Amino acid sequence: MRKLLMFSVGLIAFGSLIGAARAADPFYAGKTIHFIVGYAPGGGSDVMCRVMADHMSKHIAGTPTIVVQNMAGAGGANAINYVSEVARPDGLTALCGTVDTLLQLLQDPALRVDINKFQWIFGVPDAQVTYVRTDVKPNLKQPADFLKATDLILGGFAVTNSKDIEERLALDLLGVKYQYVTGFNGEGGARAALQQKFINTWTDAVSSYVAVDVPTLVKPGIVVPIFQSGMLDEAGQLTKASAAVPDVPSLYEFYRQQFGKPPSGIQWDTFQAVQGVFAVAQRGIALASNAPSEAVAALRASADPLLQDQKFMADATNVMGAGFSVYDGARVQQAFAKGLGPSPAIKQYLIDLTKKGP
Amino acid sequence: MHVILDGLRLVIVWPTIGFMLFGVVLGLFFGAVPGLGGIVAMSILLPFSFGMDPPTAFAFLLGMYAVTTTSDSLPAVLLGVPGTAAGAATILDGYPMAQRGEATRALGAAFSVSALGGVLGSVALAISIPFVQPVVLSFGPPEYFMLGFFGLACVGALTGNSLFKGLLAALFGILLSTVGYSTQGGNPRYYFGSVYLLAGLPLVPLALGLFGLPEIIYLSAKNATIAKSGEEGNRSKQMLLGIQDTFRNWWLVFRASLIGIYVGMLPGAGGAVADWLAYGHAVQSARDKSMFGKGDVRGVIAPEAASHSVKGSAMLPTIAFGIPGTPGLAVMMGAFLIHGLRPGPEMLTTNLELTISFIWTLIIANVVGAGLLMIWGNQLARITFLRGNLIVPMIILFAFMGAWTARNQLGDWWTLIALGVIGYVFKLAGWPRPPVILGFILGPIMETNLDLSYQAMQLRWIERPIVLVMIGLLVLALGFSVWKNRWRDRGKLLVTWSVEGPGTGHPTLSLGLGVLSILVFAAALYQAANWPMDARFFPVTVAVPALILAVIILWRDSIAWVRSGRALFDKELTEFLGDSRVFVVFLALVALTVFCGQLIAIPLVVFLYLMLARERWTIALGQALVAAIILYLLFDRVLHIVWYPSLI
Repeated sequence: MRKLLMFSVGLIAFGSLIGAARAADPFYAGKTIHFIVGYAPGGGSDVMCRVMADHMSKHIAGTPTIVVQNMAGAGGANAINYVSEVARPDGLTALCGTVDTLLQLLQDPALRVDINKFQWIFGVPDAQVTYVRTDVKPNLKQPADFLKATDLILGGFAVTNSKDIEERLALDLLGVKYQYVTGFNGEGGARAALQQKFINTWTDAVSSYVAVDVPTLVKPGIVVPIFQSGMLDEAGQLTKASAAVPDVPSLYEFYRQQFGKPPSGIQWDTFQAVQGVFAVAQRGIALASNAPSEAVAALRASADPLLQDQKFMADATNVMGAGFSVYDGARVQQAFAKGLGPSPAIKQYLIDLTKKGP
Repeated sequence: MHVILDGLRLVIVWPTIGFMLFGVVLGLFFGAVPGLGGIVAMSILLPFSFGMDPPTAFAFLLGMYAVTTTSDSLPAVLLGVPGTAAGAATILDGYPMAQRGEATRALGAAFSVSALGGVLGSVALAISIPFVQPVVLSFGPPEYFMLGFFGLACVGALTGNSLFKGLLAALFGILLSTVGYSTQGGNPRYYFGSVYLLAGLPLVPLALGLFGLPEIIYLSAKNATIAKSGEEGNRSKQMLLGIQDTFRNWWLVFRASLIGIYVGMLPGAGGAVADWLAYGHAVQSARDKSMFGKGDVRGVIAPEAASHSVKGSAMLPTIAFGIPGTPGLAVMMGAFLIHGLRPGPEMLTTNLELTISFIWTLIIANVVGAGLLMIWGNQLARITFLRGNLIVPMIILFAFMGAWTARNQLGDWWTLIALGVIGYVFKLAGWPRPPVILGFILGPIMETNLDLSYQAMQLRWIERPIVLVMIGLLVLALGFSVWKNRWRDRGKLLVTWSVEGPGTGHPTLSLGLGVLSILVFAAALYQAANWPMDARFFPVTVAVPALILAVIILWRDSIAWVRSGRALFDKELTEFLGDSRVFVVFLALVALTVFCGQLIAIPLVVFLYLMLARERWTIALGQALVAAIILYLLFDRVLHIVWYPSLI
């Protein structure tokens, strides 16, 4: 009997020793995280996620392997659905890339889950630059001439696309008349059409603008940038210019310069509602709602050391442009909650806007 | 002049050239496996290049990029399965050559074309650099629409005596491409409430199903070898014969390469259409057309030359304007950006040396790749002499996994199987299948660009000079072929495809397809009636002529059937039904995957299939093991496929 007791005590002690040792192991030790990207390989989200995956691993406690997988389709909804519904609740599957709030605001049938439920790790903000061909009538000698332009042809991807909505809201806010031609199959086709004078106004993400548009369109003097969508200031308003394009005014600034007062009204409110999310997290990393809290904590903790990593910053800046920055998970959570719950007036305005089309 | 040598000097240094060779080997492999070529391979290898310095990274990626169209001739010729979507035109004559036992000859021609065409193409490309800007700049949406239309007109060149069926097949392909959201994004079409269909039908499963599955059925049912007759002469002699063919037809190679260069320069549309245009041109310009579709080596040479030249010329708008010529190049551009390369006009002026080094990389990679394949291709052609049952399991593996890789969705397997059924019926009924793929690819190009043209210019786009020129050319070409048909070559058959099976197909099935077409297009029209203008315009424009064609076809088929005096249901039909028992294997594969996942299901199916086919259990086990290893090493470890979330 004694022997049995001793044996059991020994066993329990041994077991708890192992357990304690285990508990000291970081959550992700020896594991593999899968980043699921909702867009095709080679696109902006894909490239950013691969750069992240390349560098993040050594800054996450336990140095897990990170593998990037693509699940394109349905405007990103496929990946969102998958991570939320299908992936196991073990914190090993993360959503990476752009998460389009418009899917939920416009009630796209492809989206089956509530984006609000995701747990955000961090977000990478981005702005968009709107530019115009210099040979638009009357000739654009300075950006202010933009308001007098008579034959603007604005290009877009699709009526429900966030880029289309952002640029239309901006132009409507400025009271500019334009023809809206949408349905382009990708940035390539649109740039070709722009070169061709088929369209003369286009909007591009800052990263693409700096890397591709500046050398191919701006430097040769074919186009001139008018405004950018803007980054958030301390008051949470979209007033600042992105550090990567400091000489292009934000829409807020441009409006103020031209009209002498800050922008307001339903168009500005809707613009802020939509763009406000992207100004915090154009792309981000998130875990599903059922992921364990240690997973979320471990991943969130990697943000700071990642930003200190020189090699990472060099690569990221190469891809995303100067002034690459990151917002922490809690902040991103806030931004999404705000973006997904706008006032009914804004929601209705969006629905009407996308019904209109060209 | 010395910029050309400077460019060369950038390439032939170690380790740059070493990594290029490494890229070539990888590219050859990925191009040969259906569904993996192009964009998937690029994005997998992209991260590997992060650690390299720019010149090495570029050599690596370009080396891989250059050769995928070389090796995609392998599955096209040997198995009748497209390796990449751009390789489908090679099947038309390549596979019949294999069926005649001339697989090595076809491969020899294809590989030497890629070397010769690659070199010729690159030279012509370098000379054309000054033209890139004006060419790219003068092609806007209206011109792209006309280009798509041109491609469709090729169907006329390709479908000889079944012209109407060919056109109807193309229109069917176009209809399939309209499934999903309309081009402007507002309206979902033909999705029957299924979220899967909202995203539209995927190209790779469609192509694999249309071409690959019917071949599997045939091989499995007859357990015959692909090569129906013995090999003529030994294999090395065959290979040399193929190489000779290429050099003998050097003028065609040159013309086809030119088509590839200039059409390939047009971002987006170019890559998809060039090989078909080249094939059409080869048929049009040949004096003796009788062998086309039955294994004329020129039908392999022309599309291969064109698709190789596209590789080089599509790069130019990518680096000069940031406008990626093909989806694979979009990934490449991402890689360039990461490594600090900025696209822009300087790439054609001050940085010309770098651009030239890229062209040199393509040339060297093409030649090396072709050389490597010529050495190995010999052995690979043996496949065409194996018993059907021995190769079917592997084809099933690659066809199904090829269809899975793009989007990791079970729906893609259903698309694969559904198109397999359609492809099988088409084949037996003697209806041509290649126009379906052509229509499917061209549909979005035509609709998007027509829509954009209308939005921006209403009908004024027709007045644009290049559009008028293209309309003029089209009318001329049409008039010429009508004249030849009516006056010169009266009654002579133009092209019939032996890929469609013996003779012109079973009359009952043809009648059935005719009836089905009428129903399908009528239903399409009916559904489209309530949509807003921008969504219904294109489907209606497609469905109306399709209905007219379907009625004409049904009428002619009925007359032919009455005249032939055959019974409606005969023994042959029941035979076909029996042959299609392989579909049970496909369905079992899907069911098992749902239950226990692909890693177990596929090897299991391979094993069971071979056992049921009464092969030795050693072979069955061996193949199942090989299948499992391939799935694990290639698809899991290297490609990081998202597997199906099975029940266990």
